[in-house]
Amino acid sequence: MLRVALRPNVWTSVGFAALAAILLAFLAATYAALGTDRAAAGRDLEAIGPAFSFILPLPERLDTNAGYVAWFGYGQLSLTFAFWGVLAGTYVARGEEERGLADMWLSAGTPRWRLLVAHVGAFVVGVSAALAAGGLACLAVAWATGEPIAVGALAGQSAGILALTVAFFSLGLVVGQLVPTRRGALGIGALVLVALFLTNSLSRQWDALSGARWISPFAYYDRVHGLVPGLAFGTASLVVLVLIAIGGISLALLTFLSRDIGATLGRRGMPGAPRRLPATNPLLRSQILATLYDQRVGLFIWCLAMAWQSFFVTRMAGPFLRALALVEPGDPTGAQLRVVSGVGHGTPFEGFVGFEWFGGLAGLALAGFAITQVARWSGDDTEGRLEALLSAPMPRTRVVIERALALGVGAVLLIAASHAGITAGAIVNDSVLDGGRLAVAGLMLLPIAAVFGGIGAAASAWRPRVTVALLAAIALVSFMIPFTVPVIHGPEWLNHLSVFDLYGTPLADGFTPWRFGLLGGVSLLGFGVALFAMLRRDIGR
Amino acid sequence: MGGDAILTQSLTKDYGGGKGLFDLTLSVHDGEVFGYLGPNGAGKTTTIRLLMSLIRPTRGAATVFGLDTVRRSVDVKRVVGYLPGELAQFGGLRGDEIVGSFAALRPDVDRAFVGQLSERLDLDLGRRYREYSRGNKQKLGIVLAFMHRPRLLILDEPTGGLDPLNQQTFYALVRETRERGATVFLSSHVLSEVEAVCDRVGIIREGKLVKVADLDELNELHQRRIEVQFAGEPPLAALRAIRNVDQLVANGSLVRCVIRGDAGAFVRALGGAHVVALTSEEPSLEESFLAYYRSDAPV
Repeated sequence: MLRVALRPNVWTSVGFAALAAILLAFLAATYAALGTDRAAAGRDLEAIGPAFSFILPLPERLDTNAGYVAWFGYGQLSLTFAFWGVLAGTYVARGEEERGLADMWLSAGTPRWRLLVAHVGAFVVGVSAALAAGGLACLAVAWATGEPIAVGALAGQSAGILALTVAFFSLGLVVGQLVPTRRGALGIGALVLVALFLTNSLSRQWDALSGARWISPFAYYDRVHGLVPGLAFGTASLVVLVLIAIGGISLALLTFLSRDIGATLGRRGMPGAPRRLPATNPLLRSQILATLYDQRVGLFIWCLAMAWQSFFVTRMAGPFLRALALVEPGDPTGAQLRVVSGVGHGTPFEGFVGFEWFGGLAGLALAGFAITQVARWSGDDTEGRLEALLSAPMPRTRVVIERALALGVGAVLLIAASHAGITAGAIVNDSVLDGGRLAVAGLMLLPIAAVFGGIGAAASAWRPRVTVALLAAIALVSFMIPFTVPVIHGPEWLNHLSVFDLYGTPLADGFTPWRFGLLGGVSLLGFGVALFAMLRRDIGR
Repeated sequence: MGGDAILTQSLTKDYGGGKGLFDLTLSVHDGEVFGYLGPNGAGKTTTIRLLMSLIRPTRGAATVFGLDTVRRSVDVKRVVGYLPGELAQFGGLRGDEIVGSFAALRPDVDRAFVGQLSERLDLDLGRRYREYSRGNKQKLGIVLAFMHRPRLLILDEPTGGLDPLNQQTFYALVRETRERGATVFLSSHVLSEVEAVCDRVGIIREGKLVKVADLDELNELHQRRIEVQFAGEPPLAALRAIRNVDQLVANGSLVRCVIRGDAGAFVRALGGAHVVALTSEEPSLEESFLAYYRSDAPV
C-alpha cells in the first residue's frame, strides 16, 4: 500500500527536491561571492534583513554561511513546503475520492486507517527525500566554496521543516474531510495557511499580534534554530510541531472513519427542486468571459496574491532603502545589493519597485498565470472540452484567438490588482509613483504573459505533456538570470537571455518601443504557429 | 427531403499498422435513422470524428447535406447535433451553465425545449458536472446534442450508461426526431438497440464497411444461444433439419444450439416434446460477428 501511495508523490517530490537543491546551492554559492569581510557583510545584511520580516524570519548570524542559508534559504522554503503540505493533504482527503481511487482501494479490502496511514507515510518519505536532496546540494556547494556547514545542524533544520510540512499536510487532511470538493478544500486550506503565516510574520513587527503568535505553526518553526550557529536547538518547538501533525492526522483519521465516501462529515441539506432550464448568466454568452467565469475562484486568488505581493514589495521598499542608505558607499556587499535591488533606475523607490516587482516577481507571476492557462488548453484537448466546443459551429481560428484574448483579459485583471497593491504600498510608505509610467509598466507586463501564452500555444499543439515543464523552466531561468549575473560577475549579454530582461525598467525609463515590439513579435509568432497547427491537426483524446 | 444527408467517398483515415478506417463509401438518406454497427475498435468513432471534422481524412471525402465536411465544417456543424462517445470533463460547472454556454454558440436553441428534454430524461441541471453519475453525464450529452433540433444527429454509442427507462425515453426522442424529418446516424455495438430504432444498418469491421442492409436483413446476423432441457429423448432429427439452427450439441436430454434469425421453426419443432427448461441468451455483437463473418474471412 505504501508503494501505491508513493506514486502520486514521486514527481512532486522531484520538483520540490529540485527547487530546494537549486535554491540552497545557489545561496551557498552566492554567500561565498559576498566578499572576504564576513563580519561587515553580516552586519550589512542584518541591517537590511528586518525589511523582509513580513516574509522571512528575523536574520541571525548572517556573518556565517549557515546563518545566511537558514535565513534566506530555509526561510523561503518553509512557506513553499507548507503549501505543498496543504496541496498534498487535500489531494489525499478529497482528490483521491474525486478520481474514484479511494473507492477502488477500499473496495479491494484496504481498511480506511491503513489507506490514510499509507498516504501519511508516503508523504513523509517524499518530503524527507526532497529535503535530503536540498541539504546535500547545499552541503556540496558549501564544502566546495570553503564555507562548510555542519551536517547535524542541517539535519536539525530539515527536521524542523519536515515537521512543519507534515503539520500543514494534516491541516489539508482535516479541511478535506469538511469540504466536499478538492478545489474548495485547497482554497480554504491555502487561506488558513496564509492567515497562520501572516499571524506569525506580521507579529515580528506589530506587537498587537504577538499574543496570537502561538496559534501559528510557523512560530514554532522559527524557534527550531537548527542551522544558526550559537543558538540552542529548539527541541520543545520541534516537539510541538510534531504534536500538531499527530493531532491533525488523528482528527482527520477519526473523521475519515466516520463519514461516507464522497460526502463530508456534516449532513447535506435536502436537494431543492431540480433545475431544467439553461443558465441565463450573461457571462456565459461569450466564450472569453465563460472561460474566466469557470476559473473565477482561481482568478480571485491570483488577484489577491498579486495585490498582497505588490503591496508587500512596495511596503518593503521604504525600510529596505533606508537601511541600504546606511551601508557605506564603498562596501562591496552594499554595492551588490544596490545592483540587485534596481537602485540607479530613476528614484531609488521607482528603481526598487520597478526592478523587484515589475521586472521580477510581477513578470514571474504573469508568466505563471500564462502557464496555468496553457496547462488548461492542453487539458481542453485531453479531457474532451475542445472536441465539445468544435462540435458547435465555431471556427478553429476563433478558438485560438479567444484563448489569447481570455489570457489577455485575465492578465489585465492581475495587473489591475497589482496596481491596487502598489498604490496602497506607496501610500503606506508616503511615496509617490508617476501614474503614466506606472500604467506603462503595467501595460508592458501584457506581452510577458503573451510570450509565454504564445510559446505554450505553439508547443502544446505538438507536445502537450512537456509544454508546461518547458515553460516553467524558461520562466525560472529567466527569473534567476538578472539576480545571478551580477553576483557571479557574468558578462552583460547573459542578461539578455532572460525574457524578463526584455521587459526593461519602464517604471523608471518609460515606454521602450523595441522591447514591446520584440515581446509582441514573439507572442504573435507563437500564436501564429498555434493557429496554423490548430487548422491542420486532429483533435481529441 | 430526399437525397443524402451523409455521403462519403473512399473516406480513409490510416493510423498505420492496419488501424483506422479504409475506403468508406456510404450514403445515409435524408430522414432515415441509420445504425452504424461494429465491435469495439472497428472504426465507428473514427468515422464519426471524420464526419465532424475533428480529425482529417488521409484521403477521400465526406459531405453532409452537400457540404464538404472539411472545407465547410462550420456550416456542417450548424445543422448537426453531436454526442461524443466519451463525454468531456466540465469539472465544477453546473449542468445549466454548461447548457447555457453551448446554447450561446447557437442562435436556434429553444429554452423551453431544453426544459422538456431535461424533464423527460429526469436530469437536474442544477448540479455540478463532477457530481453527475455516468448516466446523468450521458443525459446531459443528449440534451446538448438535441437542444437545437438539428437536421442531422450524429450519436456515438448514445445509450451507454443509461438505465432501461431512460433508454426507452431516448428511443422515443429518436423516433420523434425522424417524424419531424430529421436524420439520425447512430453508432452502437448493441444489436437490439439498433433494431429498436433504425431503418437501415451499416456494419463495419476492422475499418471496412462490410454490409449495408435494411433492418429485415439484420435478422440474419441476429442469433441466440439456446439451451433446452427435455424430460425424455430430444427430437434431434427434427432440430437438425431446421435451416437456421447451428452448432447443435446433445448431451443426454440436454441440447445446446445457436439459432440465426427467426426462431419460429425451432419453436414448432419443440411442439411435441416435453420441455423441462429453456434458456435463451443473446450473444455479444463480437460473437455474432465471429459467427457471421469468420475473422479470417476476406472482407
